[in-house]
Amino acid sequence: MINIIPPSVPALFVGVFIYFFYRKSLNYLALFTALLTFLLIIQLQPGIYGGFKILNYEFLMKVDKLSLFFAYVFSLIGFIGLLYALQVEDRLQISAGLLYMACAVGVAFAYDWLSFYLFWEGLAVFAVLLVIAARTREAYFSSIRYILVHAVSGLSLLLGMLILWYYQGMTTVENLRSLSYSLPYYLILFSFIINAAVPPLNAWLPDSYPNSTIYGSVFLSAFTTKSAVYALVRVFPGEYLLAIAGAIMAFYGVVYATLENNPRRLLSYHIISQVGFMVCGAGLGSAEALNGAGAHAFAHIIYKGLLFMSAGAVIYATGIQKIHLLGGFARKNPWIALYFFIGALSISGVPLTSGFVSKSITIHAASLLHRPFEYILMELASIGTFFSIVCKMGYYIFFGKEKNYEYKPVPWNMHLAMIIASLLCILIGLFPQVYYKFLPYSMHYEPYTYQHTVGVISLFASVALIFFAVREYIAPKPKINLDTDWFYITTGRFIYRAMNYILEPLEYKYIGEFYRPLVDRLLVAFRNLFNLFNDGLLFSLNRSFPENIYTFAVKKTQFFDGSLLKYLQIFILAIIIFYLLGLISF
Amino acid sequence: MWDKVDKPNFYKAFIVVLIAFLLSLIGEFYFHEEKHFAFERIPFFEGIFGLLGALFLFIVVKVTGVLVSKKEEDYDKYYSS
Repeated sequence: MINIIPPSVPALFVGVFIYFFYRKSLNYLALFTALLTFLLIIQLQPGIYGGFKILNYEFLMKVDKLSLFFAYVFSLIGFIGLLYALQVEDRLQISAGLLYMACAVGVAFAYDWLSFYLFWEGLAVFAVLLVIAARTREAYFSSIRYILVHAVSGLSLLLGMLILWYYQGMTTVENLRSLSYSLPYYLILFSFIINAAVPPLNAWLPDSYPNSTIYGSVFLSAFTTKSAVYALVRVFPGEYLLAIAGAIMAFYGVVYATLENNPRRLLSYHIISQVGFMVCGAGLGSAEALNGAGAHAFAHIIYKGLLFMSAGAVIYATGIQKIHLLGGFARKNPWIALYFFIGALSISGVPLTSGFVSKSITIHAASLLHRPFEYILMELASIGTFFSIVCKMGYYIFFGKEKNYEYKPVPWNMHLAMIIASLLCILIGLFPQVYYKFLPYSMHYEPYTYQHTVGVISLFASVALIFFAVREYIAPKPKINLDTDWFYITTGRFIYRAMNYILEPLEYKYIGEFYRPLVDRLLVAFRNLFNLFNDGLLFSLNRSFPENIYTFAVKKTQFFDGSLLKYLQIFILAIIIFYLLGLISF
Repeated sequence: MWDKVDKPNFYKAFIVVLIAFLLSLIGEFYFHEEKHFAFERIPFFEGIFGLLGALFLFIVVKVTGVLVSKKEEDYDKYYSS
């Protein structure tokens, strides 16, 4: 007996329906479904639900504050992203976006490992569809790399899950810290840190997200990494490795982001950096740090969606994907500049924005636990975030020298989506205590103390000072930056070349000669036999069957020429035959 | 070096830093909040950290740029194989 509607189910069905019966008006249906998912999530009561069974296996769903918190923001960004994409006429993007959201919501509520795994793989599949929806050469190649990396992640999760199943019976998605230093523990952790883009396994993210369409990258920025953060908070809270990896990751992301020239690639590196804060929070493991990870994930999804939307709007309006060709955009469209700077100030954590109230929880938790390493790296990452997004990207796209480029106005729905996201950013920043009430664990923290606020302002003012001093030296240049994927791309290419030089001659000269007699004798004999059967029997049947039917029809018309007497004779004959049959059977 | 600095904006940022410095000095006398690390007791710690951290980041970025930045035309050479 199923007693609730799982919130991801309507979106799954509607997404498939939209794909097969697509027309442009169905974009509104997708938008409505995202809203419906949000409403379904709001009315859920905490507890464990089940009842849907296949082959004696029961799918379970757990609703608690942690899963609810992530599910709210997944459905919200799904709604905002679909609103942003409302004017697109593309069945692939709309349905894949909706299904991607459904899978993320499914991951947040999954309580048994099998449904968790299925939704986890769904995330990879629909993300690839969104990347490939750009239909360019780069998108094609990066989607192949994406699916290869995520196949490793999914298979590692599957293997860990099966080992758990074999040794422990089916367990549920819960804290696995008691299994520390065992094989399934590391397999599942490996799978999660691939999806969380922890260096050196991060290269799939900045490789694929900028190659998607401007609408696809809004969805992509939200779901995969943040569902991995959810999984880390749920399954591996307090794993010490994660705290160090997260702190390094936060700094690594901003260094690459400062180098970048492609606006969406720059923002992708900021996803890595910001997810670093969350991974670090999950690794620190105190109630406050876990709250910090969750709170930061929520705020991050909103402002990162906003940043991707405003960068996408710039690309939509100008058609240029390189910062060094842009400049002075604020004079063309000041509204997009306003949305961008709300998002940029939020991601840096300037007071009165959502980043300030969410990021400082994790940093405060690190200082409460006396972890200077994590504290300093996260502060450095904050500096780098302000340095590269507000100063570099904001300055060189929206201010600076005005370059020559074409400008086309942006439709109303994109504006509306960005306005909603901006309002959310500011509202969270203005009313932190209301926001903290939704957090999964109880804590007492006040972000707006005098010294913290002034400290953050003086930190960012000093960074701006340094930026204007060294601005000429870090001006965007038309360059690309290699990431850790260089290693596996080069290795893969080397393996292919080696196969070409070693295996191919081996195959043709020796192995081929070796099994040639086998082919000549046995397989050819088999082929002849099958040919005989095919040509002789089947083909002749094929040819004669229509002829026979035709003859039968001709004979029938000759016999049944319409005289009533013949029908009567057949009727009586049939009655006699049935009577005889009855006699025999008794 | 000095002629490459964006002077008008630099002076504006400098004024903001000065104001923040004064505000944090006032905070030192009137508000006594909990400090968890020894280095947080330095007056105007965040500002100093911001200056040094941004310079450090700038140096790291330049060094990394020398190592990993390649010409844009070489995209095909490194990616799609």
